[in-house]
Amino acid sequence: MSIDRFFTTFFDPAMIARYWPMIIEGMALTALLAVAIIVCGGVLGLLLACLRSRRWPAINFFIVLFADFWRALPPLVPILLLYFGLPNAGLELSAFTVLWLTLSLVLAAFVEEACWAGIRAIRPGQWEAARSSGMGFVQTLCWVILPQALRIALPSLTNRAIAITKMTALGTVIGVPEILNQASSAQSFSGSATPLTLGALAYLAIFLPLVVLSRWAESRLAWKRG
Amino acid sequence: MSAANPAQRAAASPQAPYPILELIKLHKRFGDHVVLEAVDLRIEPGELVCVIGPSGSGKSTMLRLCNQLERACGGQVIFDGQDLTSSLVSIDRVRRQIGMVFQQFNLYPHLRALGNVTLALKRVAGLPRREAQAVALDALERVGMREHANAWPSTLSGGQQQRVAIARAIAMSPKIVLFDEPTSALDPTLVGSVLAVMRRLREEGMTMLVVTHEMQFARAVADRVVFMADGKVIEQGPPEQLFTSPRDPRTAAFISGESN
Amino acid sequence: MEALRAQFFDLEIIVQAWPLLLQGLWITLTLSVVVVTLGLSLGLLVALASLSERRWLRWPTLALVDLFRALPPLVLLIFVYAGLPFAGLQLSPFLAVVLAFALNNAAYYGEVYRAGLLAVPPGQSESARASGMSALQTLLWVVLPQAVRKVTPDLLSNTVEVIKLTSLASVVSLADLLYRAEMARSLTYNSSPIVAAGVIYLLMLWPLVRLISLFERGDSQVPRH
Repeated sequence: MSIDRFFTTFFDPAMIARYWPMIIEGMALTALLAVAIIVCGGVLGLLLACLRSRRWPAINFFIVLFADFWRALPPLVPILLLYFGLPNAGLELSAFTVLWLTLSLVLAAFVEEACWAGIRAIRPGQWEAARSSGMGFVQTLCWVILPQALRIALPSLTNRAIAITKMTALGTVIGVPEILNQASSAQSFSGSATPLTLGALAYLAIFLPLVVLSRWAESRLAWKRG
Repeated sequence: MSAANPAQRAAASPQAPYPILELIKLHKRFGDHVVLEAVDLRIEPGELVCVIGPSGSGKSTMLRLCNQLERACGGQVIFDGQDLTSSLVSIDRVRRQIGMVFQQFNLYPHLRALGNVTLALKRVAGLPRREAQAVALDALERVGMREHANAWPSTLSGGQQQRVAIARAIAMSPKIVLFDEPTSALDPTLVGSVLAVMRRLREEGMTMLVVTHEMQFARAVADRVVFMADGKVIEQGPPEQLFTSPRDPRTAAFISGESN
Repeated sequence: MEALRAQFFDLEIIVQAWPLLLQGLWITLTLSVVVVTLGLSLGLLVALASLSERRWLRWPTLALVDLFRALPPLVLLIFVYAGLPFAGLQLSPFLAVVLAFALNNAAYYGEVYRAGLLAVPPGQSESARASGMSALQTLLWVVLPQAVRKVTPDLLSNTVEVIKLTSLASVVSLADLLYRAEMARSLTYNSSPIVAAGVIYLLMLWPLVRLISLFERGDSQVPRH
């Protein structure tokens, strides 16, 4: 294939001019979804990890069950169930809601695990020092344990946030007009591969800086350790 | 409530008629392993009591029972007239009146020295920020760490960290401070500075219960020395009597072993 | 309540769909084995290249790794499946899935190996070389075993992600487990086959997730309150 044809196939200027607004709309929706998911899933996961550190065996059993379930299940399964199955049982959720709900629960499971690992890494003397000064369980958690535990969990939390944002592409399966959905519908209207290129570039524009940033941050952390 | 009434505290001499802390027939087991067996102990206000004994004698466990970091299997812990083993007692309210200093310091690594001291003043005593800082700086002054108020714990030596930990405990104006082997994790050259601070607190009239391996300190500074072995209080008495003419052969053996 | 049970837990429909689901499971397993094997072996090459002394090898490798980590795997898959034909390269759904996910996972496994290799103290390879082993022998018999041991939990959790990822193959009409379940759902207007597929995924992956948690469990430091 000549370079010329390669460019008109994947970088056709006319197609770019026609479809870039659609891709931008998709980017806005992807960003909105990402924020909604990260806020809800992050808060839920953090709360579950805090609850788990209270160490009530019965409750912890259910927290572990919850985390295992959402870490082991491919997210497309609940997405299809909620979107296609629930209406037949009399409850209709929008595609946006289904995607937001599913991915928030998936993120919550991973955040719970990361935060719990951080909490567990704090030496028991920290709890004892705080409790023996008269601080209650919640105060100790908020002012002594979490500030240290979250710092430990930060790298895996950022990785999870990036990963879950990438998963918003699953919305295309149920027609959430996020980037991938916009790009592939534009591709089928136009019969050109250029919108797909635009979509891929849009994802790169969002994630490449994050990936490079996290690589940089990790290497800095590694130096500090060494 | 007889809480923090300064006049009352000042009136409390070492010979006061009631103990500030009393352990009655305390039992503690971990699994089948008996750690404490029928331990009785009375601490009067203003007293400095040192607890000595071989490792594994249960002395640290006994200290941790005094503020209920461990739960007893039987017996009572009476602090200031309240039975702490009762489920009716709000343990968080009691603990603010009991300071504790740990072997491993346990400073909060994410807070500077000053922040370590102000945290409980703000969150537990409810002092406004400025007031908490004033109280904390005063406490740091008393342990000679005021000029390090802005230092991070990781930049301080072990002795300095332990002095900050002592400031953290005394800033809450506790009625008693528990010391759990406060110098055992220290470099030998740094032990002196921490013991000097404890000696000063003694002169200020602070009530202290100290689990320690520092025989010289116990002998020179304590009002009373308690010797524990195998989970029991073997004997107790004024330091001179206990160190020069112990009644129990186990005490004598331990003391001659430690002084070599 | 009854509506929910009938829609999601209809045993009769699951029994009817069972042969279909088994066919799909076979594809899912094949795909998982192929992608994990390719990912594990390409990932090792990627890791070695990204740690190479030679800049012309190291920098392009790192750039490609970051590129494939930045693209969501589904985007890569659709690009390969729907985009490449425009360039005259028509791949079967199976090959498209394998290509897209192998590229994606070579990058991820590569990063995991890389972390493991970096965690092996340099003295290890120095003493191996000093005892007369070749560079390849040193890598195979001294450095790699230690590196893999250090990152086993991460390799495992990436493997869980890969198997979950194969469910995306249904999007390009590869007849994997989830595709068959979705097909059964659209034929019967009943979601029970998808629930059954979900249960099969859980049966495969739950033990792995438990295993990862066991690896990560040290002594629990959190005291009882």
